[in-house]
Amino acid sequence: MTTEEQILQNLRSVQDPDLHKDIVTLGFVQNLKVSGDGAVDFDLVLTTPACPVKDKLRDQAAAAAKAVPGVKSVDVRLSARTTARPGMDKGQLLTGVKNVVAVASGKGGVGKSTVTANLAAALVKQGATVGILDADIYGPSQGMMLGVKDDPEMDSDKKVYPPTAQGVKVISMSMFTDDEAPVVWRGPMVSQMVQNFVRQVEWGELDYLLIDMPPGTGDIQLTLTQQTPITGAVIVTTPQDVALLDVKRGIKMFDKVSVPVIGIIENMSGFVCDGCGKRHDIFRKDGGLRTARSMGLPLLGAVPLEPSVALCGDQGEPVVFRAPDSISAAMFREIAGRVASELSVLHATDSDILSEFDYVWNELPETELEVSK
Amino acid sequence: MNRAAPVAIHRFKGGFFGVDWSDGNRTALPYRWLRGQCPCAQCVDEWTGERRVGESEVPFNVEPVRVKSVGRYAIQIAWNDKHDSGLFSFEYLRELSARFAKGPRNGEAEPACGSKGGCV
Repeated sequence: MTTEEQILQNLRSVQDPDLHKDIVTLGFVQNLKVSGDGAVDFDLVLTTPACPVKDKLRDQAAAAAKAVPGVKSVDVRLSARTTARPGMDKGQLLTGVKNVVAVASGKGGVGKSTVTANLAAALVKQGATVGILDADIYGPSQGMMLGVKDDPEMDSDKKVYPPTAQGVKVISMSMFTDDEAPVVWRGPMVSQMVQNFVRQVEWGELDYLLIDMPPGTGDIQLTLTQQTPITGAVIVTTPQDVALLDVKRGIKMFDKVSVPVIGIIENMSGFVCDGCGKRHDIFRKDGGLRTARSMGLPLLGAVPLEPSVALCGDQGEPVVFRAPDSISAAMFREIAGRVASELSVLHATDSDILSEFDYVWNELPETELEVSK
Repeated sequence: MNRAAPVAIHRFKGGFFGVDWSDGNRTALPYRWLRGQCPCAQCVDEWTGERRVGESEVPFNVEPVRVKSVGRYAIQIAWNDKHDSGLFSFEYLRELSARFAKGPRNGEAEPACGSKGGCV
């Protein structure tokens, strides 16, 4: 008769490509049941609902279980429990929020807010719970991009409850200021506002909170980065060199405060003509890729200019929802998956990994080179 | 994408920069060859992607002086030719290692020490 042991043994051959461990060791396989007539069923609990390889993992697990002699049928139930940043429960800030992702840019006008709204949309589509904190004090636009109609609610304890639009909880600077009035804030006022945002908003349970950062790398941005428990940052750029210089500043800012930069997103990467469908490179090509390479970061994806994308933002519905078949929507989904899996990898950081080192080379012992370990 | 990270750094005899990776692999690259693959903006033209400083531009006895981690993604190597701006990301090191395994010159022009290669 087939035993659970045999099934688990076979399931150990299935590896998570990002975490480099098998699905049994990782604890993904739960509630395994083997019935007398050869029917096997179990849960496959992944680290994020936005896992880009979830279908592949499920198929591999099913095939591995099926290969055990005596097994007639296999039922794999796919689910996810998003892994949380270390210290989520201990900290006082943003309790209940498992991952805090800063979406930043070295300068304005690169489409950071559009990218933020669409990443949120893509994560929601995969079944994650998502919020956006629109901290772009210069031009808060998330309310418009997601078509938020309600105001945030406040209770007597001064707790703020964010409104939900299209499945995304949103708090924006624009909800607390006059639409037309320019936001003339001095450093300390901004710092105070950010504190309020981080401390008084009741997000509830969130898998991902995306922060739409103010563009640039000044005092305000640095303060925000230091005061918020950010799990990782992504940096949005356009392909030109001026923008890329600013990217390097952005990365250095996060490096300074030890916030891991997950990668770079190149926006406005060529123009997809709505007339001929051809892609035109308006700016220089592959700038993001070269910068990513020279900074040692992954390029998470390149989103083209499509007239429909901008229109979607203006009309309050991200392209991921409105035009799911467009090139841009597909790219946003791919980027969201990569961000989610990079975050899982960050949490799973193996204790064996050298985290911080600084060797004076000739103080290291010189050893004999053996090819295999 | 491979997200393996270093679990140990080795200074191997014969001038090899060695890394043990979290996925169980070990890589070892000769100093001078590695120095010649520096991805920084001084060594590679940012506009054209063309290499400005390659293996043949660096001294034969080049070796690391200091090796340190940058964030969670790269290793910065300061060399004894006073060059220290190169960040070798983990991904790039693995890619280099795969390239080196195929033959150190891999079609690159100007072999530095004899046309047969093998100067390591």
